[in-house]
Amino acid sequence: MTAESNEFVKRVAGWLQVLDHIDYYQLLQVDPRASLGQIREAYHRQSKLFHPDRYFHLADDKLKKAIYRISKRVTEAYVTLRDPRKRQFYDKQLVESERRLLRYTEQSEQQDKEEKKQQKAKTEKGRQLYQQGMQEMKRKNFVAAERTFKMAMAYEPDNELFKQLAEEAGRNIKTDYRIK
Amino acid sequence: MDENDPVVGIDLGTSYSCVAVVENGQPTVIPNEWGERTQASVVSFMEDGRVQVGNDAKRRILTHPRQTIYSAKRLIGRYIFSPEVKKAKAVMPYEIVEGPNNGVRIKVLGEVLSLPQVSALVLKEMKEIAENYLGQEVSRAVITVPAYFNDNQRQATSDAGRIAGLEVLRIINEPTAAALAYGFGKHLNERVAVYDLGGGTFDISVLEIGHDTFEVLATAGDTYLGGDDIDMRLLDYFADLFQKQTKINVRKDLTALQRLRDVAEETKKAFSQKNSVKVHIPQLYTAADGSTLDLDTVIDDKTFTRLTMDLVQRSFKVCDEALQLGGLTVHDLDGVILVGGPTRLPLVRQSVEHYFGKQPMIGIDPDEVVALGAAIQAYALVDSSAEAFLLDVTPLSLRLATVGGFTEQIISRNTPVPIDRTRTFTTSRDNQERVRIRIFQGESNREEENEYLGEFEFSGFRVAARGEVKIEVTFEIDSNGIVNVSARDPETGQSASTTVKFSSGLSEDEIRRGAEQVQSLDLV
Repeated sequence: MTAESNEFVKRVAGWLQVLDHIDYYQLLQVDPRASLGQIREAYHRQSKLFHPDRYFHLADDKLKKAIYRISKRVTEAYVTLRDPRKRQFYDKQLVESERRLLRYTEQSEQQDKEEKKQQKAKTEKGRQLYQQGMQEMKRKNFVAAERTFKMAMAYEPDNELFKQLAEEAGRNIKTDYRIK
Repeated sequence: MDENDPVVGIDLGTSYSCVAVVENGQPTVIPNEWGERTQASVVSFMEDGRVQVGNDAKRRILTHPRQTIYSAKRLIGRYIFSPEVKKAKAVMPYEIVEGPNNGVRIKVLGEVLSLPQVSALVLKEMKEIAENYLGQEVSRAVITVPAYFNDNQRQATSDAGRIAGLEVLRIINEPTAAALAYGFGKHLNERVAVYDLGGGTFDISVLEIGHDTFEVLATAGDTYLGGDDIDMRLLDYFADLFQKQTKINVRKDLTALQRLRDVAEETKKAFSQKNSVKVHIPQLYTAADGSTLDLDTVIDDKTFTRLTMDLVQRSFKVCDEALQLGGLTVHDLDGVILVGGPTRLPLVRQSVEHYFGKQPMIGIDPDEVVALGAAIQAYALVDSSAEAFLLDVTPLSLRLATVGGFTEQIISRNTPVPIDRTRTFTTSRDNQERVRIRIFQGESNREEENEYLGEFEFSGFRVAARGEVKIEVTFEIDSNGIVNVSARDPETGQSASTTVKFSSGLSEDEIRRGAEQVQSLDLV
C-alpha cells in the first residue's frame, strides 16, 4: 500500500475519526493484559504506521497533520502504558469512568499522585520492599520484582497495590521482549 | 524545487564539520576539492570583505585572531550571562558582545554578526562542497546537534540552516545519527550505547535497534565537556611550565596564547598514537629587546592522564545518569559505539572499555559517523522506500513558571517525541484579556536553575469574571526536539492568538536580513 493511495487516506481518516473514542489499548491494538514487551512492540508497529517521518515526502498537508495527530497520541499511549504506576491508574480510570475518560490527562496525573500518597505502604518493611520491587521493574528484572512484591504482601496481606504489582511482574516474566 | 534534488546530512561540529550524502543506497562522506573529509568550523573575515571558511580559515587564527571565529557552537543559542559565554569571553581572541534580549553577537571588523550567521557561513561552505561534488544544487539538509542541546540551541541551529539557504528537513541528535550509521541496513537486534565526546560537548544515548527501528531509550549529556577542555588543560600546563622556567606569563600575549592552543591540540592528537610527546615551540615569546624564548618539554602518558583524567571521569557520571534514566545497567548493553575525535585517545578508549565492560565497536571513523547517519536520515525522509526509522526522546524536561520563582514540570525528560500535553488555565482577574506564560527547560524546581525558553501571551478568548474563562494550552515537542505552544478556548473551540517572545533567538525579520547579509558575503 503506497502512502498516498486512496486506501491509506481512508485508513488515516478512519483512525482520526475514532481517535477520541478509543482507549490506549485499542489505539496500540494490544490486549489490555499485554506485557511491557508487547506494548513496546505495538508502539514500534503503530509508530511505523503513523510516525510523521514516514510521510515527510507527502505533498498533502492535511493528511500529514492528521498523521501527526495520531502519532502524538500513539506516543502518549506508550508513555502511559510503559509506566506501571501510570498504567495502573489508567486502567482504574477506564473502569471507574465507565470508559468516558480515555486519556491520561493533567487531571489523571494529579489524582494519581493524590491516591498514591494515601495508598502507600503501611509498614516500614513494606515500603522498603515496594521501592526495591519498583526498581526491579524498571530494570525489567521481572522475576526479582515478582518475588519482592510477594514478600511485601507477606507484611501487608491487604495491600491491593502490592498484589496488583506482583501480578503484573508475573505477567511480564513470560513475555520478556528482548531476544538475546 | 525538484523532488530528485539531492539531500545531504551535515554534522555541524564545534571544531570540525562534515557533509555526507547517500549515493546508490550507500552513505558517503563528501570531501572538499583538496580531498579533505572534514572541515574546520572556523570563519575568518578579511579586510576586503571576503570570507574564508574551513581549514584555510583555521590557519588564520594565529595570524588574524581578532577576525577569525571558531567554536561558535559553544555560544549558539546561549544568553550573554551564561557561564559558557563568560568563559568564552575570557579565552577567545575575537570580540563577543551583547545583542538584543540578552543575546550574543560577534563583532568583527566593525560588523556585528549573530551566532546563527557565523554557523550559516560554515553550513554554506558545506553546501558548496556538496554542490561541487554532486554537480547539482543542494537546497535541503538534515543537520545534527548534540542530544543534550536545549530548544534555544536547536532553534538557533535551524535558523543557521535557513540563513545559509538550506531547507532544514530535520534537526537530529548526533548520537542517534551515529547509531543509524552503524545499524543501517544490518537488521540488528541490539541494545547499544553511543559514547559521543566531541570538540565541545559530551552525549551519551542508549538505543534499542530492532531491524529498521532505532528507539532511543535514554539520553543524557554535558554541553560543557569536550576535546577543547583537554586542549585547555594542556595549554595551562604549557603556560605554567613556561612561567616557571622564565617568570613570564605568556597568557597575556595573544599570539603566544594562540600558538599554545594549536600546540595543545596537536599534542592531544599525538597521544592517539604515541605514549610520549615531545613539544618544541620555537620563539614562543619575543621580548621588547627582540630576544626570543622557546618552550621545550616532553609529556609522557602518565602526565597526560593526570592532567585530563577527571574530565574523562566526568563523562561516566553522565553515563550513570543515562543508564539510570533508562532503568538499565551496563550488563543490558550489547555494544558501545564511539563518536568524536577525542575518543581516539587510548585513555578514553580504555576508560570506556573499563566502564562498559566491553570493547567499543570500531569500524566507522568517529569523525565521520555522525554525518553519515544524518545523510541516511535525510535520504529516509525523502525516499519512502528507505528502511530506517528513528524514535527519539527529549533530553530535558519542559517546565512552566508558576509563582514565587518556582516551576512545574509539563513533559519530563526522556519522553519520546513527538508528543503533546495539555494544561488548562483560568483567568485570575475579572475581565482579564490576556494570559501570559513563561516556559523553561531543565530539571530544577527553581526558575533560575533552568534554561529560559520564552514567553507566550494569549488573547482573543472570551472576557468574563475571573475563573470563568478556561484556556487550554497545548505544549508540543516535535520530532526535531523543538517546542511549540498553542492555546484555545475549550468552550468555544476557538484558538487564542499566541505571541511568542523568544528569548535570545532571532525574529523572522532578523533571519531574513541575516540571510541577505550572509548571501552578500564573498566566500573564498
